[in-house]
Amino acid sequence: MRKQSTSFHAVRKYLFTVFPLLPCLLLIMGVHILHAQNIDPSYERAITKAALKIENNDFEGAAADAQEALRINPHDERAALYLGIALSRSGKKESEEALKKALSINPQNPRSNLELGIYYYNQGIFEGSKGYLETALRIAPNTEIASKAQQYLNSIKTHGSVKPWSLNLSLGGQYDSNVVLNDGDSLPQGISDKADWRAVFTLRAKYNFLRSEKIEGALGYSFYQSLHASLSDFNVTDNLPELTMAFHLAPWITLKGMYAFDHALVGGDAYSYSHIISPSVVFSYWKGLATTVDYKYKKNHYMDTDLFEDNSARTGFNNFLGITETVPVGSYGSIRFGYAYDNENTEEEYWSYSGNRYFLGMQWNLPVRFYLDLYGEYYDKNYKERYPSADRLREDIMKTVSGSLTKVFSDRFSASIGQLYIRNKSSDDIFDYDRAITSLFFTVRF
Amino acid sequence: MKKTRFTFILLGILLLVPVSALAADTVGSFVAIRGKANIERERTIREAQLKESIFLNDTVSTSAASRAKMLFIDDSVLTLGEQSKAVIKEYVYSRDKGGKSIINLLDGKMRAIVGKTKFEIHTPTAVAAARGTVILCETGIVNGKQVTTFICVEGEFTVTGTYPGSEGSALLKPGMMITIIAGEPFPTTFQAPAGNTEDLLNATNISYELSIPGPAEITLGPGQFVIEQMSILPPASFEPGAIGSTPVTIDIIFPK
Repeated sequence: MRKQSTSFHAVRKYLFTVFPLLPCLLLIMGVHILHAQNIDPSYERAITKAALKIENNDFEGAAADAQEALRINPHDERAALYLGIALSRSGKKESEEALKKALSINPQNPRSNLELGIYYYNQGIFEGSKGYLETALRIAPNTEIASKAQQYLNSIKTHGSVKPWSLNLSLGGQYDSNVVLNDGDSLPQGISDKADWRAVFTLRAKYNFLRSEKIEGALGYSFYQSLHASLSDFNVTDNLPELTMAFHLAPWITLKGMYAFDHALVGGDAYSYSHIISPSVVFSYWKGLATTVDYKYKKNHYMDTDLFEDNSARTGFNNFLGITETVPVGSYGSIRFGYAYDNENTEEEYWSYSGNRYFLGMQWNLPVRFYLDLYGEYYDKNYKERYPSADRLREDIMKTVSGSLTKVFSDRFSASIGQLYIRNKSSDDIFDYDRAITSLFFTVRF
Repeated sequence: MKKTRFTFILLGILLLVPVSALAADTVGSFVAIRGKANIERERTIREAQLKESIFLNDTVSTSAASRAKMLFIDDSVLTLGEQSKAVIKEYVYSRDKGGKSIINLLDGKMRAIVGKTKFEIHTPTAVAAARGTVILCETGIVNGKQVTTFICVEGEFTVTGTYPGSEGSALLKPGMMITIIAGEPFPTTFQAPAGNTEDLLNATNISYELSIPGPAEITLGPGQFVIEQMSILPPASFEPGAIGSTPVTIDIIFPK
């Protein structure tokens, strides 16, 4: 009897517990069903189009459709994720905000974690990338997402933390129409032409001893050697070690600083050395638009040689202040233009001048990994004193145009052809010249 | 002579075949495939691939535990459930004038998010005509009879019975359902039981699996290939006036 009573109480207790919950359960089910039925056709169309466009590499179109989906459903995780993916694939910084929004809606979405990791990887912020990639790996083990996250982590080990250095070697040939920058009057007998062929070897090495989201530091070394076919006294050997630092004060402002020591030999004789200090500020605006303000102080020391008897007269210093505007043109390339003022102060005043430089250039990404670079410059220089052999004050106007076409064969190898033309129109005949250089270079990177 | 003429005609036909194939217009693309989906075109059947184009008169079918989602030129989105088969019977669309599309669902389950055209779903027993709606549809043989069910999720559309003995017409509004059984009188619409709607939604639900690029495919960012300026000009700056009159060492004398 007592046992029956216990069972009855248990059943009654169960019913009392379950019955009040039933309306709640029904309500939850009803809400779920209503929610399932609530399909917005406009949203579905926009998100489907965004997905297809991402797969077809139409990232701008995909971003527009994902934005439309996000407008219809502002708290939709998938729309935020697709927007982030589309922007990330097209290299846009706004991707970070969209992906973080997707992640804030669902922090456990492995794809959002992976995509944010990929975004930081693309930006070279490897430490920031690792955390998200590891989270994606942990949330979705044994999936394609985990496999790709592991690939990126391996790549970071190889390129990010283990390999902080880079090495570029270039070997090429040039034909220079005016090696000695002279009209020929003072050239020795027997030279029929000032033009010459030369082989050029350059080396650029860089070691990043510091790299974080806020600060970067690097040691660099550049070497240049030219070997002329006939004018061997004009062979140039140049060594340039440098130290650069960059401080990312805010996402839109970076402060940079550089110190370099430049030492040059001409024809095997010591020709010049310089100390260069250059602080600069980079303001980054919307979608890669940037303004760079550069200041450069250069202390030059020139040595007299058998060939350059009065070279030391040029010893002095140069102050340079310039502003460069970089305007990206979608994914096609960028245009840069600017102005610079420089002031040269030398031991002999007839080498001192003040100059104004105006320049315009563009870099264009062509199909099949061809890159085009075009540049034009107008540089007027007003000298402070009359040159000893001249009868009036020297004024120079130097016009430079150059173009190069680079073909990238792989991330390691590339080849470039280039043409440069300089016309220096001077009030003093001895300084009036033109010069054309045709180049072919092969570059290998490590 | 006859032989030569025949050869030329044959060559002409052979040349025209690929041209006519190229001339066919894309009416849609596969945006998501789970499991296996097949595409039947010009009497050949092969497995459909993600992003693959869909042409007029293509028959799309899915295997067991498979689904396929398609986006059409008028922004209609169709999802086929497992073991389903549909023919793209008609698709005419112009941005200005709109158009008309007819999808023939032969068997299985389908979700249609109707785009900008006048859209019709033909089944063996009925036709649903709509514009700008969300339709769930299932057709198949139950107890030896062809049965078709339509559920209206969003907007409204008209269902017309086409099977002899099942003729009739009804307007479906959101949440309404109709089941037409071949040979039986045209039924009345009723509120769709939540279970039916949910089952059909689940049967036609498919998530996108966007491809993920590997690290080697990434071409942007600081780790990328950087085009550096060539050292065209020597770093040492010569000034003509700084050169004296001392003879220069010349390795090769250029001939005049």
